[in-house]
Amino acid sequence: MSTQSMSFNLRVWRQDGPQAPGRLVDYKVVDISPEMSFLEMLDELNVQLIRRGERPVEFDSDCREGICGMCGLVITGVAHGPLPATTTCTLRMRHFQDGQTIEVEPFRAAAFPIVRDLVVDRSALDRIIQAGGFVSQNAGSAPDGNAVPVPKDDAENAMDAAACIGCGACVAACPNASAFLFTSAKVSQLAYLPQGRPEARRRVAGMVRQMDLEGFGNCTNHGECEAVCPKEVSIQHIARMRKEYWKAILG
Amino acid sequence: MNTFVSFYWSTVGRKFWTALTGICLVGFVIVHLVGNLTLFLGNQAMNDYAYFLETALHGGLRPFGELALLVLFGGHAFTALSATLQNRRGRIQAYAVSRPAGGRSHQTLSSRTMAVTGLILLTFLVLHVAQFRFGVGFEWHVTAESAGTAHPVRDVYRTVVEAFHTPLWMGIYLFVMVLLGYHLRHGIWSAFQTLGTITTPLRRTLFILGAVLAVLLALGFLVLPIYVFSMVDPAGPFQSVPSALGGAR
Ligand code: HEM
Ligand code: FES
Repeated sequence: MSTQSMSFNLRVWRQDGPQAPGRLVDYKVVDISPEMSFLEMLDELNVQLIRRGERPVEFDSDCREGICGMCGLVITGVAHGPLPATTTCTLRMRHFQDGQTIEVEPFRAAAFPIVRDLVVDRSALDRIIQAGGFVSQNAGSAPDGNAVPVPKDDAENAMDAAACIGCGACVAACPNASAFLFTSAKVSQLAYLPQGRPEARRRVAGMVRQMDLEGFGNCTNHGECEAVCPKEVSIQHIARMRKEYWKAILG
Repeated sequence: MNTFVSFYWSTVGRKFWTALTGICLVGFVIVHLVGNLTLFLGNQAMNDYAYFLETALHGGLRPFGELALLVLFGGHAFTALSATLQNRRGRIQAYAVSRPAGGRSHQTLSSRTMAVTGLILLTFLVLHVAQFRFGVGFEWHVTAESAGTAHPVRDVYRTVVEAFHTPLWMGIYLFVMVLLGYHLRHGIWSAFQTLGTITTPLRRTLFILGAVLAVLLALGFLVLPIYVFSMVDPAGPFQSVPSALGGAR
């Protein structure tokens, strides 16, 4: 374990409430261990702020092990920070330079209103799921293994899509604030499997409709979403969702 | 369900039309370039080609083709720009600091400037059609005889030569053709991604092939004005009556 300690110049977005104006505020943090996660470093900042009698910086987190999708910050201009395939909670301070200036902003999208500081309301994503991202037919008890054959490629693709933790980094990184990658992952994970087929049309039509109602942008294939996705969900699923959509609307 | 409305107004539907019209336009641009290469064969070949376009299918090709192009260009620009506006509403407050993540991203300068290059192309298109199709400012004709009567036929070759000997026009063309290359650098692969399920290896290949085709098309269109501009004898043997009308061969 390294004993060296690091210090950083933080520029953190502070905003009192949804309607309040916000701005980047400078803070210095010292004695940061390189093994700390980004969120632990922010915890240190908050200890310092609380001691000074100031309001701590609010940010979201839950599992802190990269599986729940609750955390999410734009760090030095990149959603979840500069390391690929990483959530904010699993990003370590050793990936930054000692003394570096680090900008920290919330995920920004019209459909993600800021609650306070770095906390945004991502319930728009939940409403997309509610619009069809589930299987509602009674599938009975668990079938025997191999009773329902699934080709290996389909199983792999469904699993890759199902890796999505719904953090919203794809929206945050997209120049158009589009939720195509999220929605397509949730469409694909079911569309590839036999259990998902009966409701496939209703599902994709409903989810796309809800996605549009929430005010997310359109997809112009920048592919920036895939680059920041902590689970490396591929834009291949976006192409798949489009195809499912044609089938649903025209078929 | 109001199928066709949602097929257009949904984000997914709108993008489909942008891509479909975009691909058709790429096809048109390729044909257009090949046709223009008749310029290298000289005045007679070019005017013959122009005359062919005017008269093919008993004169039916041109109105039909022009209508199709109007729909394609109009539909493409409308769906693309309305999506651009939709996208701008997607994020009201910009990031203070934002940079591309690199890595697996397909984001390029080209992908970020599609609406800008598109708008410039649209503006250029108006000038281009006025100039070369309707001959505004370049009213050269040759007199041809057909069915016993003399009537004027546009001298397209001369129009092109005169235009590209004007440094201003020459500059505008060079600039816009570079932008066309930029537009297509993202546009070509993007249209494939929009129109079909593309597996990751195929997508990566198309991302490169799209760039190659974009460069080739831009180069093709750049070579023409440069060639004309550098011609030793710009005046050339004008008066090239289409051979179909008894012109020299
Ligand atoms: C020379 C003619 C043109 C060709 C060959 C062309 C081609 C394309 C193609 C293939 C696409 C990709 C479609 C997709 O990704 O789904 C595209 C997108 C686009 N085009 Fe064009 N285009 C042309 C002219 C224009 C014009 C005149 C405009 C605007 C007035 C325009 C604006 C756009 C925009 C905004 C996009 C969307 C950006 C994106 O999808 O990333 N284009 N174009
Ligand atoms: S806190 Fe759960 S993924 Fe980061």
